[in-house]
Amino acid sequence: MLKINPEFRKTLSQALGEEVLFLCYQCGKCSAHCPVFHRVPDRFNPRKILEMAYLGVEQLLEDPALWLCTTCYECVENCPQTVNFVDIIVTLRNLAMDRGLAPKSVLDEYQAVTNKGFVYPLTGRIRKVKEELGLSITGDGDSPSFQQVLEVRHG
Amino acid sequence: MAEMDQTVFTLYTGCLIDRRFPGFEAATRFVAEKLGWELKEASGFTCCPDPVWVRSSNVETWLTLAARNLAIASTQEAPLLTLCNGCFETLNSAAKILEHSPKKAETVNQRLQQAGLSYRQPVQVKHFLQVLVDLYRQNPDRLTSLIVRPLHGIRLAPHPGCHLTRPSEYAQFDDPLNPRALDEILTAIGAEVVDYPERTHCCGLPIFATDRDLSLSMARDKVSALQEKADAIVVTCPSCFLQFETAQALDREHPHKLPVFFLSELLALAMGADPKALAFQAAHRVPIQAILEKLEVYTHAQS
Repeated sequence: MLKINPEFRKTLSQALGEEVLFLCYQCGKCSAHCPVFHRVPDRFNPRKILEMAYLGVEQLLEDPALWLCTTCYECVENCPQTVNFVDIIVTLRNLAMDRGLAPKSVLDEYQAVTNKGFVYPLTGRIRKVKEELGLSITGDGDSPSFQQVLEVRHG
Repeated sequence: MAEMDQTVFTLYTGCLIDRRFPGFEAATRFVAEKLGWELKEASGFTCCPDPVWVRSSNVETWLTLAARNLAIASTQEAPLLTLCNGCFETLNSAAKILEHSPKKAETVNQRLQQAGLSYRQPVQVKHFLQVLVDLYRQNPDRLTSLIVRPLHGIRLAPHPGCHLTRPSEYAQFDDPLNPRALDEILTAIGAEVVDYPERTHCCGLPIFATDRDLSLSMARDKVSALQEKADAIVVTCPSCFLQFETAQALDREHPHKLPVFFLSELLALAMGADPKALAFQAAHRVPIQAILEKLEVYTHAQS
């Protein structure tokens, strides 16, 4: 059973801005334009996600649907109420990530970028192709100081 | 602010072109040289970072790393030239977010200061297609006079991709629901442009990380829709390229494959580039010989 949690609703509206959740009038245009909804309507429905966010259903953070939005922005461009569904899904994903609910593949990419600076490693094969093409090569860790900007200092 | 010189850019190659498709950088450099552009180098860039999963993991990390790249670019006094829809989305959106929110800019600058950097001088972020189509609209001959190998008789299906024009709030380029800039360029280089109802549909790449089959089905639907209509699909984003290639390489049911090209590759070929200088074999898993033969371009690497 879905449960409404006023505290969760408060957290969400603070993160998104007070008025954002009130804008949606559930017309469903977002879902009508969503390429993922068209394939798997039972698993991913933007209109329903907005409804649950509006109500403050905290189980949203554990819903696998959260990770099926491609961020193609078709919904955003077609919304008559200027609701930015992508911003909302990103906020929900950030909250899920903070609670350790993100899929491993997402966590792996986040760690690759924050540890090495890049999503993809530079393989020997590509290094060789780059040399043959006369292109400059940036190895992992050749981007000095990038991790320093991520350190959060207190006081 | 005075109009910046639009022939000098700082080149930003991101992750995927830098680490998977170096031929796309070579092709772009070839085209830039033909057009008389100067591409400056800046050192120390990282991944843009990814507008989907890094932003979905932690918005502050996303904005801070984007601002760090912008801070590095801001020392060059030239617009930042991106070759990827994702890099364009991240860097362009981040630049505009920081411009419109002094509070966020202050927080980010405090973090940049920890590495001795600052982002105070706004950087203009451009996608390669944006610059090219602007130039073409102002002076078509500048582009068409360079075409020595026109793509006559080749039916190309444009796939503009999502993040080149959306969200329009930040992208402010082309029509977000009916983008046509890519069509204009493909027509200019002599190709026959194929129109199809699925043209603006997402390739599905982002959710390859979270639901592989669903993700690949999105690309396969586009490829199937084009099977009879087009000789190749053309993209302006290395992520879309990767997705269309992967979707076909892993598809054993359909032996007929649709070649995928990155826009710069076709421009470079049309401008007379030697295919050996484009490293096709490092990027293409779907065979492209049929197209090269039509253009009377031959390379041993394609055997």
